[in-house]
Amino acid sequence: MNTGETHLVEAARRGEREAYGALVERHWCRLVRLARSVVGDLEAEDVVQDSLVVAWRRLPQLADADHFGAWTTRIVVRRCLRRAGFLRRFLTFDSVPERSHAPDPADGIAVWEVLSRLAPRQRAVLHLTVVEGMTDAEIAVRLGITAGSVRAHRRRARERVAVIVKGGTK
Amino acid sequence: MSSSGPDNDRDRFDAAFRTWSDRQPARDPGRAARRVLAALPERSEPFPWRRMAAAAAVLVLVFFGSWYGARERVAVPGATAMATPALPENVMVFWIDAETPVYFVLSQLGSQKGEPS
Repeated sequence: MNTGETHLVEAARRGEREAYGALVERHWCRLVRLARSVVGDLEAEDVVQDSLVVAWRRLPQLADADHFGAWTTRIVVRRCLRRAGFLRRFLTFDSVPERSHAPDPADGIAVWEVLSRLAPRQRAVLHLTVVEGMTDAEIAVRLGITAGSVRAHRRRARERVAVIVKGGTK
Repeated sequence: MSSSGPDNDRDRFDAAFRTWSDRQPARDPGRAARRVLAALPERSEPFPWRRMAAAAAVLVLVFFGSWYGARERVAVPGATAMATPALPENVMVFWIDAETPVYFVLSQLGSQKGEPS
């Protein structure tokens, strides 16, 4: 993280709302993309907004201002997992794929339809691996699990995706 | 390597996933920041003193409540009457309450009662 962002985090910790607004602007798109992979389009932006309000309240507990990005990612992932669990319990399976507005990509893989058939934590691991290109150790820190668990989640996700993609393209 | 193998499927999915994920959010960052700022509480609390103090007060109340309750139970009138008289070695006594002893007499199976005549 650059020094400018560290200054913004320090200012936000002192209660400067404008500084926090600037941080939200910097991280908004990345966090929404992550949330979209875990809870789908319809919920993602609201979950991220709620997470950023929670992050503001907890900002004094952030030990290292350099880790603001990783720290907010962790908050967003936790809230997404909670939200995904809620959606799983209270929505029928058939309604889940409709939670994405995105048109199918040209090669015929309906991404949300595939993701919605994975466990929420597997979706988060897959997003951080494929989209953000993080290492196992980096993902482990953001999800609050071990690197071994990250590998296990990714292996199961890959196996499931392979079955779905193969079945869907036959 | 075959172009239709599992690696190819994986690459296709990863590419589609990146494309799908790359879409811009419906709310642009500026608008999102304004909405977040509007939802923030008055100011960021430096340390949750009030919450910590409330938790400590609850702990103190629970501790004194359980201590006082235990004291009340010990002070039941007649508790001193639970002194057990001297018993033979094969007799056990359990006190249901201060006035209700239950005696268990241990002996070999069928040695005294219940034998067929």
